[in-house]
Amino acid sequence: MVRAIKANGANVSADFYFTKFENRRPPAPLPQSRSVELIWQFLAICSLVAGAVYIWWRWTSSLNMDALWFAIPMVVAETCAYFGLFLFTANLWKTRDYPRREPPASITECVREGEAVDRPVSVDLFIATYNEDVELARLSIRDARQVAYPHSIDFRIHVLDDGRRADMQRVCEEEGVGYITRDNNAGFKAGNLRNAMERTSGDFIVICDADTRPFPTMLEHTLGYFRDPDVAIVQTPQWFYDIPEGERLQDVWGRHAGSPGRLLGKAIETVFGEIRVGEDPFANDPAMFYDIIQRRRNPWNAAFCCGAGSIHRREAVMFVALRAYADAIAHDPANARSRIARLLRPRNADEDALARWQAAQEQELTPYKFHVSEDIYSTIVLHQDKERTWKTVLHPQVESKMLSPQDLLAWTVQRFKYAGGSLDIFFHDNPVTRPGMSMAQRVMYLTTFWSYLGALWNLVFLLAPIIYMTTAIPPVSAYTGDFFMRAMPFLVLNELAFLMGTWGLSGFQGKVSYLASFPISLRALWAVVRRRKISFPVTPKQRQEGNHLRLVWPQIAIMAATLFSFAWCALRLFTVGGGYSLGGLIANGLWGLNNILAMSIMVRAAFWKPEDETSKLESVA
Amino acid sequence: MSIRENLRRGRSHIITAVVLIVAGALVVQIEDRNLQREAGKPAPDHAAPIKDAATALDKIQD
Repeated sequence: MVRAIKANGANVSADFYFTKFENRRPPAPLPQSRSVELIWQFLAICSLVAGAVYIWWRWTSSLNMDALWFAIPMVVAETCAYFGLFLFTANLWKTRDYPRREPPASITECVREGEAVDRPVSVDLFIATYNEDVELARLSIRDARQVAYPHSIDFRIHVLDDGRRADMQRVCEEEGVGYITRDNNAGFKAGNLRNAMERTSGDFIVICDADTRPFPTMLEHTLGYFRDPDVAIVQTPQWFYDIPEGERLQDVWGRHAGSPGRLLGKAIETVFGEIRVGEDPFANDPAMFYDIIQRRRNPWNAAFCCGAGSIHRREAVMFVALRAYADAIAHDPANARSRIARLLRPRNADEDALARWQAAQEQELTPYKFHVSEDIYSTIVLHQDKERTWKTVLHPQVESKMLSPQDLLAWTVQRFKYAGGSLDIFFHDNPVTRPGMSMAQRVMYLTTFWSYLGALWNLVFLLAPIIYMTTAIPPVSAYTGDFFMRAMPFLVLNELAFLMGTWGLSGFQGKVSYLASFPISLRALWAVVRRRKISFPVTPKQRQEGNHLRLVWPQIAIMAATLFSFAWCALRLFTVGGGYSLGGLIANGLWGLNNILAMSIMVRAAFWKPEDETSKLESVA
Repeated sequence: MSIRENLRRGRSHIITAVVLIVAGALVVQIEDRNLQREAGKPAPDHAAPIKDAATALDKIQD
């Protein structure tokens, strides 16, 4: 693939910032270890038991009755966080991958007996685009053309251009791939996909964004899953190959402080292992999400589609459309219902999915929900089907590469869409309470939704040390020793459990970005509660110039308030006492320090510039 | 991947656990000493169950 880019791409896109990362290779999936899994499960149970003891004690024996305005929100926040921990533990409980199977030679190997005639499988690869650089899309097209398959296959590439650009059409003609557009942008990406589905007929559909560059092995490694006729979607991990690697601590300190700095940095790295300054400034690395969270939903058939890098069975996607349409007209006259029933009922042997799709085209159908989170929403509809057990698979191996948000604005847009879309589903069409899913699937979806509600209790955790250090009012009424006797086993066991539960991956970036992104989730929650439509802005693929400090004012405010309250508390303690204690100052000071460190990552991200730009600025200076 | 490399990747958990243990022990030590000084008697046994911590604290303060 890289050879193809070098051979064909010399005349284009030479100045893309990511060109220098072309040789990067994705990490292998985390190896499965039964012993590590057993240790994780043991520690997780111990942690949950210790947590239950602590929460019980908090409610029954340690509320500060003199300050219930503070004590109640605090204990509620702790309880909600504990429930979230319970859900997350269930999510991470075990890893059981779907067995890989040989790629099918004929479509008859992928459907139920008699549902199709013997012929090679046909695949449409969609590259959805709107306003991205056409040369960026050209790279994706060229990589898509390199996709190989061991059997005869009808493989077609289509660029779905919602920007209606002549340049994009020209690139498609030059590259010999299909160009599909429409005269409106209804439904945004979901509408774009629907329009393309109406004009194509492949058995399977590969969804790519403009920057998604599939590897040659993508179909060979994934189509085998569809030998199970109930497998509807295979999601492959998204891998950002342009994430900044940062610089070794010893090199940074050596540059700024000479040999002493280098030696000190080296000593620290000797103790703590390699430390890279400036690595992944936006906490974009999705490995935790795909290799841990999504992959461990495989045992419960609860992995969900995330759009780019996924392969869909057309029949299943069409099913979603028909089901949604049927729901929409459920209260319509009887003749409308019978029309839908005809479309949904099992077919004769000589009528395959394509025939049903053509019939469905006559209706006003939306194969992908017209929703900001159309991917997860469509998966939910599949998982809710009571008549057929559709399966979704998380294929653990990376099969494509793509670009990460390169500035805080793009990052914020992306996270806001995720949060707003998920919360909108939770509040207005909650699959956890609606019929159709298994209990395990409900737990997995609730885990996702609950994580976005976490901003509410995270805000309490951010404000609590500030309130104590400003007012000398603790939310807990107990001896310090009693508090730590119950809190410490829980907190320490929790850390050790997740050390083992995420063995092989660093969860630090994800943890702090989860805490620090509370304003985004709160804004999304506020929009959803007011029934405001979550808009569909395309996540910018190119770095946006400008000052992004306005995006992180809540984090800066938390940092400033924490520092101020710490100074105030220390001043009062060492002058008049003021009801403070040294233990309280230390405990809340460390808690505040943890919060400041988490917030600082987001604030630093607002200032982040690529290495090239930083070098230019330094040379000018 | 070696155990050492896995531990390196999970070091945030280890550092957090160590900080919690050290800071917790330190804070308890300081607070117990304060309590002992104020109450004029040994610090309570934290392992023993407490029926009403707030009442106990009030008694100590009285």
